[in-house]
Amino acid sequence: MPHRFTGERTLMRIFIGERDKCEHGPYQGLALHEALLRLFRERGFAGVTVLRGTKGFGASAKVHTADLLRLSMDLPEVIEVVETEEKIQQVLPELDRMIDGGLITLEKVRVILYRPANVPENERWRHRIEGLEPTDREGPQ
Amino acid sequence: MLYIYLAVGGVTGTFARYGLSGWIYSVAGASFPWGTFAVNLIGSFILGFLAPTMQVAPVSPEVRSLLTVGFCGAFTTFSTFSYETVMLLQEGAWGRAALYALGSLLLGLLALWGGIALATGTLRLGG
Repeated sequence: MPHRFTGERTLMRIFIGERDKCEHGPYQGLALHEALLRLFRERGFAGVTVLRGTKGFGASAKVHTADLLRLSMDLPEVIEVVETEEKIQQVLPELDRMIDGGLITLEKVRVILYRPANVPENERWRHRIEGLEPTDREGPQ
Repeated sequence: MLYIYLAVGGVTGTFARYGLSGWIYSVAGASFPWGTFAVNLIGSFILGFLAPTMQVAPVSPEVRSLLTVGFCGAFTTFSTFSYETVMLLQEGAWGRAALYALGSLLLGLLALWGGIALATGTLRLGG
């Protein structure tokens, strides 16, 4: 039986700069990655990951790189979110207002594992990686 | 009082470096540390010109410190130079690392000497 959060979902990637600030709403003025994290948490999203890039360029065509100190002051950040298409569509108008410059991509993904750490042994079967046979053991026996 | 002069020179030098090296990268690209390279050479030239000039010009030790220790000290950056050389080495860009390190050193000395030559030439100091 599938866990509530396995199966086809949408992966949203938001590409911004670390110095970007939230432009709108209750988190206005906050670092954008922090504002987005809080927004997704508040909306009950399944999870969010913020990644720091070491090099990159975007719509402004300005190169940012950790290798050159003068150009390392606004490094790229990627915020990754996996949720239902519906939940992501609902939050898009808010994102549009919060983000000044950036890039957002959506793609279909298949979630095969979504489990918290330290699941009790008797609950563990509900959180197995999807597609494993009931006889599959964890690790070689 | 000296501290205030030093602070003024330091802040001015930092902003000047920030602005100039940012502009240089926007023109020259990010494949070589052109910004740091340029400010170090320009700063060396300026200090080369200032040092002998300050010896004969009627300026207070405070103003001298503002321009040399404060401005030139903040405008140029040895730590950034070291950092960027190590980053190039870590990338395996041996050629660019060598070019940057040796070029900065040799041209930096040359620039400083050029500054001295200009100062002594224009001021007709001994030499």
